[in-house]
Amino acid sequence: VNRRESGRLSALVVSLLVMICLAAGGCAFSMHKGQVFDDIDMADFPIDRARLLSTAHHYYRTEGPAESVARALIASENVLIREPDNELANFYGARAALWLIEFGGEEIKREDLAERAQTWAERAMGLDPSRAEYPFLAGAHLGFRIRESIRPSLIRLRNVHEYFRKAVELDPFYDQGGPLRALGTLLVQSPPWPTGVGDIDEGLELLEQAVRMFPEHPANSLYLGLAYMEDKEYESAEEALTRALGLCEKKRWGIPADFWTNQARNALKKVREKRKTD
Amino acid sequence: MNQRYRPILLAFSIVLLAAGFAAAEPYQMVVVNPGGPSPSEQAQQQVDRMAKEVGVAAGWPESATSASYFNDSAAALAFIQQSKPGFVLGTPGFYLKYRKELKLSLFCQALLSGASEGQYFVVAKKDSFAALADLKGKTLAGTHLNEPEFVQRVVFEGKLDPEVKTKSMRSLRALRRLTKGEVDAVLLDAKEHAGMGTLEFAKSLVTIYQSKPIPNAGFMVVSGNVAPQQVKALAKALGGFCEMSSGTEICRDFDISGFKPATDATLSGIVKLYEGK
Repeated sequence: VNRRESGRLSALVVSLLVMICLAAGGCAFSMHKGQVFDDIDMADFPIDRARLLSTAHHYYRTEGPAESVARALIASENVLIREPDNELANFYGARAALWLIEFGGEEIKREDLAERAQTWAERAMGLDPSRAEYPFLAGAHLGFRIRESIRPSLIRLRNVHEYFRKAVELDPFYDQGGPLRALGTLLVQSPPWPTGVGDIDEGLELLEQAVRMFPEHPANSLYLGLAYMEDKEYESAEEALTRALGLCEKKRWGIPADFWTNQARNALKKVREKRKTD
Repeated sequence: MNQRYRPILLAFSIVLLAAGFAAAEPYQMVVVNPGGPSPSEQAQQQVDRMAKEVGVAAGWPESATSASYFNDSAAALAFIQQSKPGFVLGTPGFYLKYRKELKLSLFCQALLSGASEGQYFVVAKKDSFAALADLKGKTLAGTHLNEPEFVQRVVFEGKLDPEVKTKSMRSLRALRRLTKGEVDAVLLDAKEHAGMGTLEFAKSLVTIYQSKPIPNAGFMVVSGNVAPQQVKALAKALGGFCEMSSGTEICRDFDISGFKPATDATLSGIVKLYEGK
């Protein structure tokens, strides 16, 4: 009887959600496809805003798994359907989207997600210009879109630069040096002065600062190693990449650890080849 | 061997031979910018996008058109020799160094800020050096020193003292090191020289040498790898490319304001300087 009751309740919740979604012009969860989302039962989501926000907060875990972060994303989107200007929902949505884009696997529809998530981050920025997370996320999503675009434009890199610069000004230590990593890497990889925003010296300085402040975070050493590679400082690159590899403990960092390990291993291989040929 | 298969094998070897002759990649381009940003995935993507848009404008199949980017002349040379691309977008220094070896022929000159010629400048700290001759035994730095023969023979017309030490590095880094006294002078191109105004720390620097105007290079054909009608089609497409909706943004990204038809004669003056004639 309990199971039947619960089934009825679920059906009721689903039909209610569908009605709400139809009234709002579409369902958030219908936008997502792929294994990560297929395994999520939409009936599990609460309806009221506060509980959805709590779900979005609770299910976002930097170590993953993707299914949990996907839940956080869907919960945020379900709030945004009704309240597009909800600051927390915009933030939670953009944050979960970035995680899924980076670590969620091949099946995530990255371009679409990044486009929407950039809008959420920008909206959150408009609602509270004092939070470093918002320009950081807006820049990361725009940067991703430029990278993946069929027609990437170097001019738009200036916008990414402005977002990351803002985030560094507001709080360079968010996400254990996230803004420092992001701006540092952008400065290292962008076309150099005077054509582009590139400035390898400042980029290296920011990345070194990130490592000094948060030496335990693998991504700080990884991106510093990649920057040294760009600067043809292969000995320093090998040292930083080896350190990054040593820090990538799956137990502590979860799914991102696999991603960073791969990147560090590939880069180390190239660095060692370079050192051999040089 | 069974007699029946002989004609098939013969036909097969003829096809293989023909494939050998047709191994050139006429729609493939090489972009060379010695000392420029490293050939990252993004840089490759950027040049590939340029090649495809230019190729489409020339009426070429988009899927067959591609480009490869190099920031190292030797790596570009090896690639061109192996892959036999049809075209090279490169610097005057690359043209001068490899024109004979690769049978390069200029057919389209790139316009930078509307100009078909550019100049190079040497800057130093105020009250340190007054002329190029004062740099004997000192250190000169800059991105363009990646092409040392071009710089010595064409930019300096052989006037740079052999005892000047040269260090190839990004120009912004070189300028910073100049203000810190770690290098003595910096070689800049016209765009970098004009851009110094945006750098607060560079306010105290002065120009001690200005080269004569040097013609820009641009698109070159690797003779033998491409049919004349394809060169013609590309030249025609490039003519209005920077004004086309698909080309404006690309040209801006590549810092090119347009293209104009050219021949090897356009660069004959610098060829003489380079060859010391």
